[in-house]
Amino acid sequence: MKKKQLFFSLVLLAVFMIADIGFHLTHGDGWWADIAGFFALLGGLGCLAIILVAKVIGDFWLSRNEDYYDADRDS
Amino acid sequence: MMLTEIVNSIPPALIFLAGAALLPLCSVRLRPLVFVALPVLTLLMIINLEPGTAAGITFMNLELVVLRVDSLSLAFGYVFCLISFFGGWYAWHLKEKGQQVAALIYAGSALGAVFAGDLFTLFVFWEMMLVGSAYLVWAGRTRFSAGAGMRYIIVHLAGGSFLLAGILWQFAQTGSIEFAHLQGASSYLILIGFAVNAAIPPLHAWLPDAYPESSVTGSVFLSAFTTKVAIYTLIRGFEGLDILIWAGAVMAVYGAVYAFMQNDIRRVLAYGIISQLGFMVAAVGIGTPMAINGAVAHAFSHILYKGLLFMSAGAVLFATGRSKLTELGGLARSMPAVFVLYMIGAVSISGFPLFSGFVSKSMEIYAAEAGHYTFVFLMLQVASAGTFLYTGLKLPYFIFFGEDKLVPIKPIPRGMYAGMGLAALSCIVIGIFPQTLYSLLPFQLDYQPYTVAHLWETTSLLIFTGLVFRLMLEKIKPKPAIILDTDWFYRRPAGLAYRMFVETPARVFTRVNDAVMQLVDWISGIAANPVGFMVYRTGKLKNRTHKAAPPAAEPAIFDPDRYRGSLGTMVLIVMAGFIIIGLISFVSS
Repeated sequence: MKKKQLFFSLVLLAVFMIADIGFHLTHGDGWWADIAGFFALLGGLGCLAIILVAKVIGDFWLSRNEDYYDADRDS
Repeated sequence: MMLTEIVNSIPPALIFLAGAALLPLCSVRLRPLVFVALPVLTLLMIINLEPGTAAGITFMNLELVVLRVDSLSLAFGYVFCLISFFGGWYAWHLKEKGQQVAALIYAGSALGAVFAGDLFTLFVFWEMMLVGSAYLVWAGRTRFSAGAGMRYIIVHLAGGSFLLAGILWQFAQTGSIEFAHLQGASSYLILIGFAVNAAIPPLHAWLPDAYPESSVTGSVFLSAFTTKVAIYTLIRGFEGLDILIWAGAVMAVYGAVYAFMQNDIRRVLAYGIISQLGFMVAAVGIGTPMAINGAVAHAFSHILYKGLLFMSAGAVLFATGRSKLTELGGLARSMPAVFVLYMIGAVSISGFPLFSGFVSKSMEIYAAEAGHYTFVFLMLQVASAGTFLYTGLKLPYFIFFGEDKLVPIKPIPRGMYAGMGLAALSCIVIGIFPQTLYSLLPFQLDYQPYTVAHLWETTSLLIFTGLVFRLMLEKIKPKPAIILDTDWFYRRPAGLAYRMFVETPARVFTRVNDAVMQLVDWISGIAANPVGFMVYRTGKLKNRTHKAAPPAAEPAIFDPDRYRGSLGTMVLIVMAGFIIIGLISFVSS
């Protein structure tokens, strides 16, 4: 199931890249205009980065019990 | 002619403020009608204002410009009236005078601030906004909203103090209080004041602290005014300030990451505001006409779709009494209309083609690209993907789908649907007819959002965001936790300060009090019955153990007869005395 989803995503990415090269869809002066399927990659990887950063700082650093601030007041 | 001149010199804020004064006199049934009539009246008045109009009054030798009309203030004026109108429909069921009046004062002073032509008038309306908004936070009436409202007030009073100090310094240096582009050392104090209201990290923590704790209807108004007035003032005073570009780009990503981690729906949306404000702040920093147009357009459409999102989140809270993702799920079947309306707001904020975010946010991103701020451009794009991730995918999935928690549903008032419907309509109209929005912007530019490249970029970005969400779905289940933010720096020491300045003095006072009372006990005990007190331990002293049992109830108060000797003993003592005196005199002679 998971592998199928991943495979489907990668196939779709390839389709986007080919479409991008074939039709010259991405415009702009920057270097990113030369990378095929740049915005698909940016969306996917950027989103992955947000999830990972959120998980790391959430789970290992900044996450607290819901009554964290209450505990102060009652003591 | 005379009449129109008079009408055209009334600040729009006065209509709202007069309404706030008169509203409590109306009957319960009439009040919602008056509430929605006021924004319509004000909108009609603003439409008739000519750009370039100015009206002033003299106050203590100062020329105050209470009404300055140009395309920038007009654009914000329009959208403030619109969201007040939609919010009025949404809050139609409200029976509480206090919230209605507070919302009117809040909206009115926000209008006053964007039409203020000088810094003193701005400051007065700035602080009035705090009054109205703080009431709306407290109107949440939970044990959390009490504390959050108090912190909201303290942070904003501190920000307001910076603003006032900057204004006074500016006035002392230049002798002018005109609110135009600001420069010099004093402008940095003013900038801090603006930055607090614009929720620029690290001064942002008040926003996700207070907004989620406000009342259901209050959060709709809160999401609209304070921060967008700050964006307006930043455009007016600090357009093109470089530091804002980076502050904005960081803010956009910061807000997205934090929004993603939250569990409370309205807290996700509150961090979403910070992320979206980041786009606007960055655009203000870039400062080109395209960027400023983008900031204004984005503020305009943001107020409408964020209002819609807060309305639908509020509808969920109203219907279920719950606002945490961990306690919600499977509501799509029981609340289909709210789901659809929420999704219109979500796709608008995510920038789907044919919705308002697409035609407004893209101007800012385009301005960053055109200004060769490559890294800022990329950060804003990632923040866009993040926006879709938390507002368009994660929130709706865990509220409306996911595990069905079988939450009991309370019916939602029809007025709420009306408010949400109108706001949704506005998002779609702006998305399909972007010229309606573009014609209101400060600069006349030829910008075409619906190009092949832009459509391609956006759809690629959004589709792959969706795919990653689907792949990661198992890993991102919400958890019942809070995520620390910069408010930790004043909330944790607050506990310590409370112990130092409240608890410890109270404890010392209690000790001293106890000791003094003990002493008083002692003295009164000794005075009342010295013998009983010392020998038999009578008296009120706490924890006194009886050394010797008092014979037949020793009274607390001294009874002289009790210890008086017999007459014979007295005679014996007297006689002994005489004998001693006699002996002494005999020996000495």
